[in-house]
Amino acid sequence: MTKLERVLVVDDEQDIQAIAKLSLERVGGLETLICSSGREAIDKVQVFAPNIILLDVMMPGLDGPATLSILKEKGLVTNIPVVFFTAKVLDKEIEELHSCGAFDVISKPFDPMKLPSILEDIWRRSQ
Amino acid sequence: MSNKALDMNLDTEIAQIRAQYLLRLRSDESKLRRLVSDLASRIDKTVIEDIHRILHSIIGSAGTFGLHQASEEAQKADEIVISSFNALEQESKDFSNIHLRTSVIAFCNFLDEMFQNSDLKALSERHPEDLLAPIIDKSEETGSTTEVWLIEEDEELANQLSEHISNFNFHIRTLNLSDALAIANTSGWPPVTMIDLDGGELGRKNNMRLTLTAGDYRPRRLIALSNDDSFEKRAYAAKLRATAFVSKPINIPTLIHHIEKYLESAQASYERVLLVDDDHELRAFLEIMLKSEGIEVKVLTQINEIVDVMNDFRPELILLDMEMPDYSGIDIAVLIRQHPQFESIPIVYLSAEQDLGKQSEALSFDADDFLTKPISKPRLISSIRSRVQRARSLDKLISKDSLTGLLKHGSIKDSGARELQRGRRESYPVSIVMLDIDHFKKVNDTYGHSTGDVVISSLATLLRHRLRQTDLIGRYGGEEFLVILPQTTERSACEIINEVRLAFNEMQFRYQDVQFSCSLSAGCVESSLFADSDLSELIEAADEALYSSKNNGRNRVTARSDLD
Repeated sequence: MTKLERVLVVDDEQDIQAIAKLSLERVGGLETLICSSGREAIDKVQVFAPNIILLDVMMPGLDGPATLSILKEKGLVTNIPVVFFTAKVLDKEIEELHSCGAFDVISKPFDPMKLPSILEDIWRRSQ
Repeated sequence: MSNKALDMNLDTEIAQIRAQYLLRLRSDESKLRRLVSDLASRIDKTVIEDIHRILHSIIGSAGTFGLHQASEEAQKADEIVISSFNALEQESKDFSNIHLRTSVIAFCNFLDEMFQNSDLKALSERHPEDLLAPIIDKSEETGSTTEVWLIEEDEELANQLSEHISNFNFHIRTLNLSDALAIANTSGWPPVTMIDLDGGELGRKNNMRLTLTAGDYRPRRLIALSNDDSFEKRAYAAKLRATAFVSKPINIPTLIHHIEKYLESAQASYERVLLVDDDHELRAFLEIMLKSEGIEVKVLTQINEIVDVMNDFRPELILLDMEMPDYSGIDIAVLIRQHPQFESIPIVYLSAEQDLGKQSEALSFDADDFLTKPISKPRLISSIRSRVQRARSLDKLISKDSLTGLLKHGSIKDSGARELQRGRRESYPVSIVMLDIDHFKKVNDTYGHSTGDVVISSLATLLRHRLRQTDLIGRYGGEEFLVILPQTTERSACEIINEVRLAFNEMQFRYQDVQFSCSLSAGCVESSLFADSDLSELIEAADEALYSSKNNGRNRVTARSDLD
């Protein structure tokens, strides 16, 4: 089993980008690439080759589910678990997100000190 | 995490991001209020969607920054917004515009109340322009403190050094050798460590000396302090791999000079590269490749914006695709060179062109290198690094004063004029300050020119550390300095410079056995007081204020507006 090393985070909010980067890099020691849009993530995923993708659901332009479906269509995430990242939602919506093909759903707000270990757990389960 | 120092940094960084977030929350609140008032006059689904989007984002973000109640309140409001929206879609009678609006306003009121609470209030009322500012590492922007270790058991000397050195915004952490080794073992050494070679554990315990010199655990930069400047002591320091040796009594400016030099090399700034390429994938690839090497990259997407982007980003090198649909690389290179300010910026072409003849034709138009695709990473990085380094040292040679490392007379005037223009265009105040060391001739005559040089370079160092990176500092004449402070009123300029004056006055200089201190006088003026004046006229006005300081007994700062 390879180690969790690189995380791609897709979120359009600057503050969330900053705190996620800080949390993953400094607390978790993970290499982190932040993309501000689904489009950017689609462009960069192949080169960055993340082990896991954290994808915000609600974004202007391409939203999370639309980004995921393009990623899947282009065969860019065959071996990469994609985790949705979203504000607390109803159980029904979580089910819907799972049915889009997400490996898991993490709810915001999140604790920056714990995010890396949550991702580690998800990553281990995906292997 | 066992690492206390790192934890502290992390906390500060989180606090900074949080402060930024609070500002945004403040603006989200006004947006919500505006949208709700739009709804009062007309029911519009897209407005309701906008409200939902904002609330949804707050639910997710507020709790992340510790504002759990705000998250919950946003959630409550959002539930009502969603059900109202659904009712509207289904044209159900349950839709109540008033219910929707009251719930959102209740949430806004909750935020308002939250902001009234002490520390949030101060944060959320900062300058509104900060709202637009991107999140940056503030520690680089303002002269925040850098930790430097001092391994010293002589408490008196430790206190004395800490006090002097804190004037330069370095924070000294005094430790004994065993603690230092223990902390370094878990969290690594700071960029600079000073160690007293006289007495202490170092002399008594051989194993500690061995640990200190053991390859992987060695301090990054070590400055040795000792009262014995003999060959043996220096050789001993050399065995510890101390690359600087300062003999006691310690000459503070010399010590600062060493610390500064080491910190500078530890924090050599990132190369700034502008990438111009129309190939989406290659662009993304290059961007990641360069960023992973710590190179700052800006991607140009709209070719017609190149001049604005360059003025703004101030790249140190341009990577230019040779073959783009509308304009060739040569077209763009020639266009860049038409602007005198970009005359010397290195341009490197990227191309699939293997034909040497065509390559040399391209190079004849003032470009510096030609890299063929597929591009090898080592070749690309070394091409960028070496060119930027050369451009930097050339620039330093041309524009920086060799003694102080500050801008020379001509360069400070050029950059000052640019800054002044920008301030007028974007209507913010720019302050101009003239500083002069009091009775400097006497220092030179009494202690000699080399001591005078130490005084001048100490003031330069002090200015560099006390001012922001965006401020311009130049050596205007012999002992005269010109400082340009953007986005600063005359009043705050006077306060800032007054602190420099006090710190400078506290510094002790040494010539043989004599200790002495110096003072400075200054005059400040704000651009808006002389609306149509150019930089030279403003410098003259600052000079008048400086002369008033001189005539009123020196060692003081005068505002030009107090003269009339």
